[in-house]
Amino acid sequence: MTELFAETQDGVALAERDSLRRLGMMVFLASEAMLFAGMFTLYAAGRIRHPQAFADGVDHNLRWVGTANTYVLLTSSWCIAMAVVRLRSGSRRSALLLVSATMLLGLLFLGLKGYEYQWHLAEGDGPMAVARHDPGIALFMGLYWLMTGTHALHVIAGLIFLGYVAWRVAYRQANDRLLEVAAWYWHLVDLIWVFIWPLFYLLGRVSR
Amino acid sequence: MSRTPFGEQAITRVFLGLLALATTSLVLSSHDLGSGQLPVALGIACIKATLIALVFIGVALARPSHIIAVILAAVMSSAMIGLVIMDVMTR
Repeated sequence: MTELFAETQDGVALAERDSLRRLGMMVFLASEAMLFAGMFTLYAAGRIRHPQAFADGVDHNLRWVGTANTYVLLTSSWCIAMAVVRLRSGSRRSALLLVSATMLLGLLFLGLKGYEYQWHLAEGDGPMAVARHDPGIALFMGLYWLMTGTHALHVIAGLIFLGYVAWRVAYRQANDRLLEVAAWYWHLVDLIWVFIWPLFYLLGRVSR
Repeated sequence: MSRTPFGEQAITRVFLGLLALATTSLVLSSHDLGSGQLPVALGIACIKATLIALVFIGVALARPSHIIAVILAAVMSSAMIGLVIMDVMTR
């Protein structure tokens, strides 16, 4: 209750500052979701016009990598959500361990993604080679590189954000609210992958 | 959050639910569901996304003024995707 009336140096009430921080992050996350919504719209239009090519493209992708990455990201989301709860209850050390686990899982995700990109490049399906395919496959592969690449950049940004917050938490310069908004960003990265996974790895021709 | 945040048990239950939904998606993708394949896969993805937003991000406990941003993004995205799909399908 005291915190409600505590004020920062510039006179803004702490509770009000936290509320504004949350609102700002919520609006930022909404704008990020809109960015990906545009790409999902492109995917929907492409899939309607080239259903067979998109199904072939999905079958060509490494399903096990997409699936493994799904479980990796879901587990990392659980870790960071638990870290927020632990920090809120005062277990700083436990929270830091969970943030570290989240970051390790994020790196594992990027490692698997890198392996998959390497595999595509070896197959001659690099981002510069998409024009060599027929229009449907070219659109699918173009969207694959665009959407998974943008998502991977968000994972990297999330790792940097989490690393910064973990450092501040470790030196007692941040409370659970800062970790909470960093966790929201990580959950958004997970939420977007929840849609990328079926669209690029599961919805093939049901040949397996 | 304006109300009591979710605890460890609730978060873990939702996590297990997400794992179960992901496994369901994976298993169903190997079965021929005909024209239902896409709606089923995206329906499960929507349920997972809703759980992540409501419990992990905590939208379920957020202030109404904060929820507006989420609702607007969802409505506008759905409108954009829906209108483009209708446009492409009716050409």
